Amino acid sequence: MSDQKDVISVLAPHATIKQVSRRAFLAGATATVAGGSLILTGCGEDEAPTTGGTGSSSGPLEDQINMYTWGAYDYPKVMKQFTEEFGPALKLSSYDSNEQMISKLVATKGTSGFDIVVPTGVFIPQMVQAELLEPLDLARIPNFENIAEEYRDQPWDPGNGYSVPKAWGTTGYVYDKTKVTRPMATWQDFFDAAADEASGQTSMLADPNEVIGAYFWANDEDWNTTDTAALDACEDYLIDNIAPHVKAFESYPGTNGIPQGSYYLCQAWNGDGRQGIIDSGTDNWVWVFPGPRSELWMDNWTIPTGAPNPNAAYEWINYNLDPEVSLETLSWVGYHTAVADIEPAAEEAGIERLDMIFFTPEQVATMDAGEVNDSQTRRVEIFNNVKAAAV
Amino acid sequence: MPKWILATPAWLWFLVFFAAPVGLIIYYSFGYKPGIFGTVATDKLSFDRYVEAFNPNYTPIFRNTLEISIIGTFLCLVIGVPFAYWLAVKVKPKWRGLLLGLVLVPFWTNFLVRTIGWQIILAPDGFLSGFLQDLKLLGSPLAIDKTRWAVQIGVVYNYLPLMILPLFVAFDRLDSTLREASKDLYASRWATFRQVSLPLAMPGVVAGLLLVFIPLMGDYITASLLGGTKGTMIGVLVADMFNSAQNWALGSATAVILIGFILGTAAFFGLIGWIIQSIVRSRRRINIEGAL
Repeated sequence: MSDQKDVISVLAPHATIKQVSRRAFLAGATATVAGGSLILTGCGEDEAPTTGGTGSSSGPLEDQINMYTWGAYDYPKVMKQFTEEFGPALKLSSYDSNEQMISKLVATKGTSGFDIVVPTGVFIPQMVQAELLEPLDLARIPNFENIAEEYRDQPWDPGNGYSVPKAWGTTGYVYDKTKVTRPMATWQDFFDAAADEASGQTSMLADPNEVIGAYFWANDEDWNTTDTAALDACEDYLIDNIAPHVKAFESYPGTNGIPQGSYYLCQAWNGDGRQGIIDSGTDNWVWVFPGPRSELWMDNWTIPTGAPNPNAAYEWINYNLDPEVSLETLSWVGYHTAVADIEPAAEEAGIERLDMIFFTPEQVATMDAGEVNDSQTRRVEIFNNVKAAAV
Repeated sequence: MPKWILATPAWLWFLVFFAAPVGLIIYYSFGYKPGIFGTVATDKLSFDRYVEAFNPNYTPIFRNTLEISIIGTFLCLVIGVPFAYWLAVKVKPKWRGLLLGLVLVPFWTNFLVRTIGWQIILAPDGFLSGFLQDLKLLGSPLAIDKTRWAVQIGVVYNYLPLMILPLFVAFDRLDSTLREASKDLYASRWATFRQVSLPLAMPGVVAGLLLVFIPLMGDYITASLLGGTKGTMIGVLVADMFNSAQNWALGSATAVILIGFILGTAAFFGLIGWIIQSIVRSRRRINIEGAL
């Protein structure tokens, strides 16, 4: 009871309106996206202010959240709704690679000012070891129960002690079919086209592991190898055969490059590629989930050490795990949000390009998770050499 | 009150915000990267990072930087000199303030935003591309975004005001009676400009060259936004070493090399300028005693 009182006294000017609008929103959404799980969620939401009360258990919500995350990874509409409903304004900064985000956290030693960072799972153990992340109190994230069983308790964070899933996806490529006419199905096709008709019009991701990974995926080899000879061969191949044809290393070609027609061929994460294809307004762009192998990554909500606005950060994470909110985010960012039954909900809602969001079990079987190992420094060095060779 | 007290704020500023950071960079450049998540350690000092930074793979980036900077500075000079001369000498004084203000208008907007603006202008689907295609000047979409040309256009745009301002001041200071005297002695307009106005404005030319060339060599925003792979400059490399590779030691060593590279290039051109000037002076020397 006292908890509830706290909530009300702090959120008084907005709270009542918010409760109403929240329910109205849920009701409206349930009508359009009918489904058993959604009705259940509605009940859960009603309980939230009293029992879950993420903000209530640790004091008032702060008035802002500084989020350091991947580009175009949160639906502006959802962020706006959150601010209207709970108060804290969201401030965004984005990064191109885990390395970049980690270097900022390491450099600022707990004074980065960020409340949320979204590392890829495989980077979490080392981040925990370097004390860059706060342990999460799952009791403050009641919506965690909405996460599908198979995405919880991952090897890199047993028991979700530091992270909860944000989204997972893969790496493939998109090409302009008016410029690249050969059949495109594998990573080798990507490299062949890059060196031929898409020469000088190809972009690759600005992330060492993605560029190096593409070579190993093409050759059906272990992309987490620490074998010096394999990495040397990869470096030689990329420098001699691919680098001269690359127009730019860009992690988000979907934001500008694809819609503006800057490239013929782009290595892309599925959600970013999807945004680019939709924004291009043409049907010239084709998505390829390439064989023989590719990547499976999962990004996760975490709270960095020294976060100045932890209560608001918890509330934001919890908000995102709501199936309704999650579906809205998915419709825009184009990544599987790891929430249970999100796929049928998305089908029902008629969301575009589901083939770029959801993958068949056969496709998933060809995806391998990355690894952060002793070769990391060498990989960054290879990437720098490839970039220098592209000049 | 001691006289040096007047300079104290400037010296303090210089010490805290210039000397100390540069000193730190130099110190870091002798360190190394400890482990995957470490950025720099300095318990063992060595020249190893310099050996790494002189990686022959990076040569094209150094060459690119030098070419973009020299061409960019030259273009700024070629565009800046006639404009500054016109503004200082030909334009009616009442319009001068307004035009000078217009030169400064770009500075009202953030450097980054202005450069992103060029990204949009130069995009193959951008309006410039569409306009040129409508005029049948281009058969296919404009293909200069993410090339060296885009960087070249971007740097000239970004640094031109830094060239125009000192040139304007230099031309503005010229005494108009000197030009009249030159005309009275039957010098053509061109000869007057070449032999009277320009030599007297030389300090402004040198200031403009330095103001454009030095920041241009270290620029990374223009190159990273407009350049793609082909327009990479050393600044991008240094930023990558700090941001992506998290290797502050190597980044610092590269930054120190960049500083040396800029100083060396500026000194080299300074020397050439001095030699040319000496030759011109000795050949043009008029022996007045002989005439007497």
